[in-house]
Amino acid sequence: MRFSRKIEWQKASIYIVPSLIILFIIAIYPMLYAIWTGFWDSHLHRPEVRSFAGLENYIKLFLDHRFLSSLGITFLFTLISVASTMILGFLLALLFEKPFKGKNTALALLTIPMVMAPVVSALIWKVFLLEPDVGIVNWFLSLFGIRGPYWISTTPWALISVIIVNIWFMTPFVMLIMEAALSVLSKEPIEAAMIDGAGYWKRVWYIIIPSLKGKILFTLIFRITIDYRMFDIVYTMTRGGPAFDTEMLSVWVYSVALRTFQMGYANAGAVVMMIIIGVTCLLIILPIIRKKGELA
Amino acid sequence: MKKTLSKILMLVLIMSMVGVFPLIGCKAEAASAEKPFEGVEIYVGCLARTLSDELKPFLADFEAETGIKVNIEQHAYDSLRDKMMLEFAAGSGYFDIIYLSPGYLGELVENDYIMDISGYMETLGFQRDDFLLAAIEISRYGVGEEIWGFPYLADTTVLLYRKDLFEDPDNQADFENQFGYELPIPTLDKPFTTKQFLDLAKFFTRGDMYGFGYPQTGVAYGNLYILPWIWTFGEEYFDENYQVTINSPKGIAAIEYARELQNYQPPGVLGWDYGEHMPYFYEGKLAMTAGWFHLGVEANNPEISAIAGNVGYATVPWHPESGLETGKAVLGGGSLAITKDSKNPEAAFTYLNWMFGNKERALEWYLNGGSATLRAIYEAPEVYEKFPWSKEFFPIANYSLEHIAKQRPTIGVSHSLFEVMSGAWHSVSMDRESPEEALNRVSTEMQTIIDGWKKDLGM
Repeated sequence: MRFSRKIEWQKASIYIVPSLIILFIIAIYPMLYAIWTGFWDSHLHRPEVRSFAGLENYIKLFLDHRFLSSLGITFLFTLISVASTMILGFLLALLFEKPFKGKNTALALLTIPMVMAPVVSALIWKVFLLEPDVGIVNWFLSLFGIRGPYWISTTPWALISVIIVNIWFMTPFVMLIMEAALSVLSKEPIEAAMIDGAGYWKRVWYIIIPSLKGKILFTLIFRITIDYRMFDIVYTMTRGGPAFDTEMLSVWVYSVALRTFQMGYANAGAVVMMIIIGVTCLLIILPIIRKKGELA
Repeated sequence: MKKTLSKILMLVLIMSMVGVFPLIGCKAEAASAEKPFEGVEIYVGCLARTLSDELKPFLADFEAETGIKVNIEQHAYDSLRDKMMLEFAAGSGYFDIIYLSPGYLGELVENDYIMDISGYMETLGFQRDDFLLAAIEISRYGVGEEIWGFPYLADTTVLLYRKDLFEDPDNQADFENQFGYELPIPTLDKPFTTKQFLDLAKFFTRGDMYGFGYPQTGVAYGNLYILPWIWTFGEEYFDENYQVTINSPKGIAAIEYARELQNYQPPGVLGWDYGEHMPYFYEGKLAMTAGWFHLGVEANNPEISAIAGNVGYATVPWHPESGLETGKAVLGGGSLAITKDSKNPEAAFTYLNWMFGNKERALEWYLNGGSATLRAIYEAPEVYEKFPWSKEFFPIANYSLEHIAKQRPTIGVSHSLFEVMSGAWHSVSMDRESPEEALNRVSTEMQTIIDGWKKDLGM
């Protein structure tokens, strides 16, 4: 038995090792290098004069009001954006659960945001939709006598704008996953509930959602990791402004690394970001791992 | 028979090779003498703008004349800067020539990434007197004699205003009633004062129109907006000993003035990027704005501007209490630098001098969207034929370049200083801090940055 398992592993390793090597080169090594660099005071253009800083970069981070502000903004952005996309995506998936005429066409149209490059989406929103004087959104609001705000360049509308665009961009992703999950869900419990007189929303809350717990959690973790690292939409629309009011952690890291070239300090910030994402995901997964077998 | 045949064949082959090779050799030697850089390929990193696009039609002629193949790679400003910095750090030698903005001139010089080309200028036919002084000065670092870039784009901001509104008799009467003096029309000898400018901005802010509007987004434009006001009021970011002076009474007065002016600009200006103010100006939503030279020229181009023919030009406002003779504007644009890692620096300089040092080519480039760095362009009849309104524009542009434009700080940490200052300006604009609070805060931050820079350089 052991002998055959060993042979199986040896055979399997032939297929796994190349992927592991690539993963090491493109993900693990850069991550380890970033963690290592975070302990050094190093400048991109003067690598020869770098010095070991220990925890100094990390201490400096938590005394840097701009870094702390970016942490707060990232948290707020992620919280609102993830919650909104999860709810909207799930509701849209429920809408598409039953077949209807034109369902596939409607689904295809709804996934358009997902297939556009984020930078293109951001530019379209910035230039055509959210432009304060000639943009479509403010024009639409003016039909109701509402003077729309200066979306990109005033607070709090700049942050609201990037959240809206991110929700628009990511909701189809959630919808597709939920729609696929709903399509393979066992119908018997739902039918049984119907026979027992449970209303539609009660069936959703007490049967469908618990049945999809695993997939919902997977999607939730995926969404958190994406939104916490969001860069392209925010940078394209606002560059982190006005007055750093939309400067996400990723924009901060980019700014420190490629504007001031303080690589050690930037990498320390990136490591903090990685730790926060990791801890958040662990906090979500751990209760589930403890209750093994509840995964759908 | 077979052996004999093969011997004859071998003999013929040898003789033909012996006959041909010398001929090839002669041809190669002749090519080297005429085209010493035959077969060389150089890479140019430029901005993704029209003036770089319009270099491409000349490349075939240059290659035919010199044998040098030029590859032009274009990027947006931030992307170009990112790419070149990473290439420099890696020592790849990817670019032979790069666009050199004053914004990162100091970094490139201090890290020994670009060449001083003054030596090539002396030995390879550069005619210094043909060029505008500002076009050469833009690539000067500090007060050194070195020239770090070939003249390419010499620019500064000029004021654009709606002549028709200023000359309207009703507006003139109303202005005088409101402010107690005649509505000023600017000339070279009598530019707007800062008080007049503010009064005009206030006067013309009504209905859908604002008195003034200028981009202020991010680090680049936040700093490009506020720095000239600080200069105009007679202050600097730091003195000659690198001590920060920004929070002096003059500096505070400058920011207070700019904050007041903000009331007469569209609320969206903090998010406006390069060029985004011009559609507002063309649509009649701004009575005044400011722009780089090509924006100024376009403003009266009937093919581009809806208000063509109604745009007047002026130098930037002057603050009488500053002790200066004129207002101040940022010397903009940039030059083309040869990288230290370039394997073909002489070929690179040859290209630059061929393209930008030749009056006919430089003129053709300018007429198609390029920049004017040669004095002769301002006198060329073709320019006035194509842009008839430039007769009004060029005196203002020339005067601004010669007397008003000022090189922004070019030390290696300038970008960090600009970032701090633009953040402070946004904070003041949004009334999160008073001018004094903001400047006291940033002066400490700036001094820390400068002290770190001095320590790194062993100063």
